[in-house]
Formats: sequence, C-alpha cells, structure tokens
Amino acid sequence: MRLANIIGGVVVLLLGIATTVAAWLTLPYTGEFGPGPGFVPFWLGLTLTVCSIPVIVTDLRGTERSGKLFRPETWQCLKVLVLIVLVFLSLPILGFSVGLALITGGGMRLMGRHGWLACTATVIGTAICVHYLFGQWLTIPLPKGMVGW
Amino acid sequence: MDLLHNLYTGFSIALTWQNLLTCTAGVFFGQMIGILPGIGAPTAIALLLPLTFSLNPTSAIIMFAGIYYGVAYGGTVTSILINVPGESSSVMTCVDGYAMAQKGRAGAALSIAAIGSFIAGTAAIVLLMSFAPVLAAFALRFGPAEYFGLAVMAFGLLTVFGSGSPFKIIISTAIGVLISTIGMDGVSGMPRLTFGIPQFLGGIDFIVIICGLFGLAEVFNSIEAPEGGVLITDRFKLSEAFLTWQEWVAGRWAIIRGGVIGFVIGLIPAGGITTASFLAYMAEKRASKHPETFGKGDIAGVAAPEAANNAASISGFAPLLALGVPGSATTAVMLAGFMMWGIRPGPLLFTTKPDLVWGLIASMYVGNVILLLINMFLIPVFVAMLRIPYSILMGFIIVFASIGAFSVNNSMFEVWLMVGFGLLGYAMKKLEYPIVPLILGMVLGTLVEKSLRQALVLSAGSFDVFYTRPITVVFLLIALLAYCSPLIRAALRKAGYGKTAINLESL
Repeated sequence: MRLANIIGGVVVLLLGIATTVAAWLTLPYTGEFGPGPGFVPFWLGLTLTVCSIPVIVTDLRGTERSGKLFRPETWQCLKVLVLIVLVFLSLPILGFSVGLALITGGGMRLMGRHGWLACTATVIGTAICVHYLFGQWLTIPLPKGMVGW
Repeated sequence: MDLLHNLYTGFSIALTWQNLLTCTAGVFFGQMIGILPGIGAPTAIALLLPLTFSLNPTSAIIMFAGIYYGVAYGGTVTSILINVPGESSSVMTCVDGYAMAQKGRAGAALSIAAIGSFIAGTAAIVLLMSFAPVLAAFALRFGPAEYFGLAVMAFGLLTVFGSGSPFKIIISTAIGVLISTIGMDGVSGMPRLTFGIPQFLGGIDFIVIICGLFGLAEVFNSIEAPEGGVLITDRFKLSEAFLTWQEWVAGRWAIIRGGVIGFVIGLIPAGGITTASFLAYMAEKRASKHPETFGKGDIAGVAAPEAANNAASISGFAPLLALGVPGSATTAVMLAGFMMWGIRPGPLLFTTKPDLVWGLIASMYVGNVILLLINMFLIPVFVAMLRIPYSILMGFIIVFASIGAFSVNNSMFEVWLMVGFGLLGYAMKKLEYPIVPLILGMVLGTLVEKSLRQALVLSAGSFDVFYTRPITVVFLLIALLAYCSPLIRAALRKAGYGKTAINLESL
C-alpha cells in the first residue's frame, strides 16, 4: 500500500512536470490582452509538481500502512472490468442493448451468487428494457448489432 | 410583499400536475437512492441528466432538488436499521440510531429523524427564500476579480472541510481545473491538452466524467468493499414507531440547533451536508447535560445530524442559485445541468428566471411534506429494498452510466472515456485522493480562469486588482487562512486543543 501511494505520488509529479513543460513550450504564457492560454496550465502543472513532493516524502518516511492494495475482492473488480471492455469491443456485433444486457447478467454471474436461470432472465429483461425505454421511447440512437438491437 | 408575491408565483408553478409529479418522483427516487448502497445523489442526478432533455428545465431542476434532499432522508434508514450509512451525510446517525434500534426503539429513531428533517428543512426553506435574494443582490456588485476570489476561496475551504492530506486535496482540485482547460481556449482559440485528438477540441463533457467517477468507480469500490450489516427487523414494530413525550422533549432542541448549524454550513461553498451533520453531532454532544449517553442511543444524537443534513441540503442552493458556485458535488452536477439547459445561475437568475427560482423554492415545501408522509408510512417498503443484492444493482448502474455517457455525443468515444474516468476514480479512492475537489475544480475551473484573465485585462495586466477591491481581498484572505488551516490545526493539536471527541473508527 505504501509503495502504491509512492507510485501515485510519482505519477502526479510526472504529470505536473509534463504539464508545466508542455504549457511553457507549446502555449503562449501571455496574450495580447493579459494572460495567455498557457498561463493557467503552467501554474497548475507547477502546483501539481510542488504538492506531489510532500506526498511522496510523507509516504517514504512513513511506516507501512495497514491495509493491502489488492484484496481477494479486487479480482472480482478486474473480472467485471474485463467483461465491460470485452462487451464494449464487441458492440458492433452485439449492439448496445444486447451488450449492456450481457454486462448485467454477466456481472451477476461473476459475483457468484446467482444461477444461470436468474442471469438469463435478467439479460433478456434488460435487453428489452434498454431497447424500448432508451432506444424507442427516449429515441437515443443506440448502436445496433447484427440482430438489429 | 415582494417575497409573498414571489412565493405565490412559485406555488402556482410548483403545484401544477407536471411539477407535482416530478417533485414526487424526485423525492421518492432520492429516498430510494439514499437507501441503496453504491449510488449517491451526484451519481443519480448525473445518470438521469441526459434523460431529462424532454422535460422543461424547471421540472427537471425540481426533480433533481427532490432527489438531493430526499437522499438525506433515505440514508437514515440504513444507518438506523443496519448501522451502514446509506449516504456519507448519514454517518453520524449510525452512532446513536443503531444503538436505539438495538434497544427496540428503531421506530422512534426513524420518527425523530423524519420529523427533525421536516422541521429543519421547512425552516431552512423559509431562510433560503429570505436570504438568497439578498445574497444575489449583493453578488451584483461582483466583478471578475470578486468571482476569482470567490472560486479560490471555495477551493481553499475544501482543505478546511475535507478529510485527509491537504496536499492530496490541492492535487485533486488542480487536476479538476486542468481537466477543465482541455479543449479550445475561449479567448485565443488555441487547442490545449488535446494531444491531437479531435474529440477533445470541445473539451470533455461533465456528464462523461461524472458517469465515470461516480458511476463506474463506485461500482468497482462497492464490489471490492461490500458494506454488510445485520438488518434489524425483529425489533421494528409499527406500534413502537411513535415518539414518547419524553423522547420528543429530549430531541426538540437538538432539531433546532442542528438545523441552524446545517443551514449555516450549507451556505458556505464546499461546506457540504456531511460536514454539517458531523458538526451538529459534535455541537449537540457538547451542549448536552449528559454527553456520556451519546453513542449509546441518545435521541438527540439522531435528531441533530438529521436536522443538520436536511437544512444544509436546502441552504446549499443559496450559493448555487445566487452566486453560481456549487457547495457540494451534487450541486456541482446540478450546475452542469443548468449549463446544459443554457441557464447561468448567479445573481441575475432571480431577475431573468424568477419562475424557475421561485418554482424550485416552493417545490421544496411540497417535497418536504411528501417526504414526511413517505417516511411515516412507507418505511417497510424501503426496508424490503435493502434486500436487493448489489450484484443486481451494479449492472443497472453500469447500464445507466454507459447510456448517459453515450448520449452526450452519440459516440462510443465518450463511453470509453467514461471507463477511463471510472478507473481514475477507483485509483483515487484506493490512494486516498478525494474526488469532490476534482469535481469542484472541474466545475469552477472555467470560472476561475475566465475571471482571472478578465480581471487582468481590465486592469491592464496589473495584479493590484486583487488587493485593492475589498470583497476580493476578504475572499482571498479567507482562502489563505483555509490553506493554512492544516498548519493551524497541527499547532493547536500540539498545544493540546481540539481533540477529536469521537473515534470514527468505531463506526
């Protein structure tokens, strides 16, 4: 956990440095009528750089924090994330309604507490609700897949 | 007389069928959202925003306001019955509320919470309708320098009211402001931080960010840290739902004190309802003749924070409507809603859109009555909802978040962006970087930059404008004190003052 916090601090430090340098090199600091487009990003980058240093130092000096970065439940999160990414990548084939329905049913199954019947019923119900509620009634042009949904 | 006339106008708008329906829907959804874990008021409003384009702005804002103060009621149910706060503003209610439930007084705890919230909420509305126009009239004197000072003060107050490392709060705020700079610069037309991606030229839509940070990130957080609890049902009897005379006497002053504290804290930008409930609890404990009973089922320990969080949710509309500065993440999302409808909250709102403002204020009276009725008669329905497994809820949150993000530009780019912000929000929570400063930074970032540049243009580049205008000086001094507050607190702690009277780890 301490290592994760240090890495987080370093990421902010790098973000700050990158923003400061990018703002200085690519955007005008002053404009014709006062501060230019680079003014605020420059100072924000500097703020991030300066504030990240005490965060990193505190974590370097501090004792090991209780609590772990990765717990058994973290793998559940990862599974759900993979499910979401795979479905979104497959949307040209599945369509939005079916894809989102698979996320709800698949999520229930991944969490491990529901049988196939309940998950299947949820998938069907969700696909119908999403298609008719959002696609038809609210007329949001949801991407359609090969089944026309 | 003007006030009465405005209120009459407001009621004539609030009591139309459409607005009564949207108000009822809002408070009912708000109560539900307060009860259900993993969904907060900002998330709910962000997810519903894209779906309300077909409503007129007044009706939509009435519904969202109903959700906001309805959530404050809803979080109470889980706090009392299962010792799990449905919302962060209900954390303090857990302390004595659950203890009362364990003694068989769950009904009385729920009653005092509902009655206290109603009384404090109604009083707050009366004060709001008196105070907000005065604040708006005062804000007419604001120029760019004053708005810059006000926004910087709001950022500074985050370090006072926020928890955790002040440097992390500043970092979150800075990241939020940085995100607001993505896109075309409004003055020069130059692209900033777009990385050559054309979809970034218009900036990143607030809805996409909120759906990611509050929708998807909360799903991941809730999967990882599910909040369990033992539901107390065997001791909840309707016959015991009513307060005894002694309980009412013990709780009435707590309602008044909590309501006052809540109203004042809610007025302060970045104050928030969570801070209000915490401060009200601490103040009530200090004022009590028997502070040793707090934490063991003292009814004042339920009445005070509940009155405070409802009063704060109402008074939080004052800075939003009168100044255009949100006081919390929820009002920040509502500000985004206003912008979407082309309405600019601020001092001129009371003159350009009086129907919307007074319709909203009048609807709060109506909403509070509806909430009281719902809480007195529908508690068993809400208790049943507690049994819905999160594994089912999370799918629907993802559905709403995905559709919300997609509907911004009818493009999958925003959906992928939402996933990215979801991961960012998840990482921020793990590493203890607060999200609310990022949201406020994003919402106020454009105001800060525009005001700063306008002020310097008007002063021909001289920074004198920031220390020669009295209102600006006051705002910037408060901001400076706020940023120094962690040092002040550390010094006071070393000197032996300001010991925390309650161990929050015990919750």
